[in-house]
Amino acid sequence: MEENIQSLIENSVTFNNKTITVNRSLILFLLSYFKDGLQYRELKNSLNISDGKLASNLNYLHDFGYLKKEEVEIDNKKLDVYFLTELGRREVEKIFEWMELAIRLVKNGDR
Amino acid sequence: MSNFDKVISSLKYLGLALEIKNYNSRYLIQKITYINQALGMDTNYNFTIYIAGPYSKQLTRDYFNESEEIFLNKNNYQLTYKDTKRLDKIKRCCEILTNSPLLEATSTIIYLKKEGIVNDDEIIKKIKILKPHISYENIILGLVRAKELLFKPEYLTKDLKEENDLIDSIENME
Repeated sequence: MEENIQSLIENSVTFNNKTITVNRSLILFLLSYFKDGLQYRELKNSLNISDGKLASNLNYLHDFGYLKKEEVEIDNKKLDVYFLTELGRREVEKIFEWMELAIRLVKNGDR
Repeated sequence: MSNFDKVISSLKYLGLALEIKNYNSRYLIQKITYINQALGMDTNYNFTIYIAGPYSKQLTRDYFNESEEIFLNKNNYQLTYKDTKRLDKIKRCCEILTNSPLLEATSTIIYLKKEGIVNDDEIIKKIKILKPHISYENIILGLVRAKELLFKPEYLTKDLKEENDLIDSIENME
């Protein structure tokens, strides 16, 4: 990948730019780290946002196929657990590549 | 001998029938492996408690790398006398194996204690923030179980032993 300001702008279309909001990015990054999946309540507690905001962000990412939901039973309680899909994992990789390009350009200057 | 061989032998000793594809099984493996390691098992996994309770990314990688068949049949590590004594201690707190919130509370409390937070009030406050879904009852019970698990015979001073004997004698009279 050629590293210049033009490439930074051009490469911003390689991923879904609607996923770059703090909450959506955090959900994707957390689910990338916790490969076992995260319970709804764990996501809610860590993001510290309302149920409405969390549900709409999860639905958005789910509709794009970036995450899947599984219902599990723990101690007779039904809980939703979220996992990243392969598509979601690839999207995270694209975001990382773009961010790395931005870091290199900003730190080293346009050479 | 790999860390994961020790994990498998320990889980088998505890009599846990686990399936990697099952979320609940993976949940149990993470928490039990953390407790076992905190009590002295030399598995050397790095754990974090934030978001999902004691959780190791390396351990996750290890069990996702194993096929279900290998997981069930592998038994390369011969547990030592010390290992079984430690696992017996976990077995004695058997309700933590069947009550997930209690297991989560106990393992998180052990983590906090290992991090140097020893004051009970401070621990309760921290658990309430980290794990708002865990009931107060389970936090208190988790605190008791954590203390039981971390207790070593050498902590038993002459005074404490006499106090325990006195309590035992009163209980026997009843």
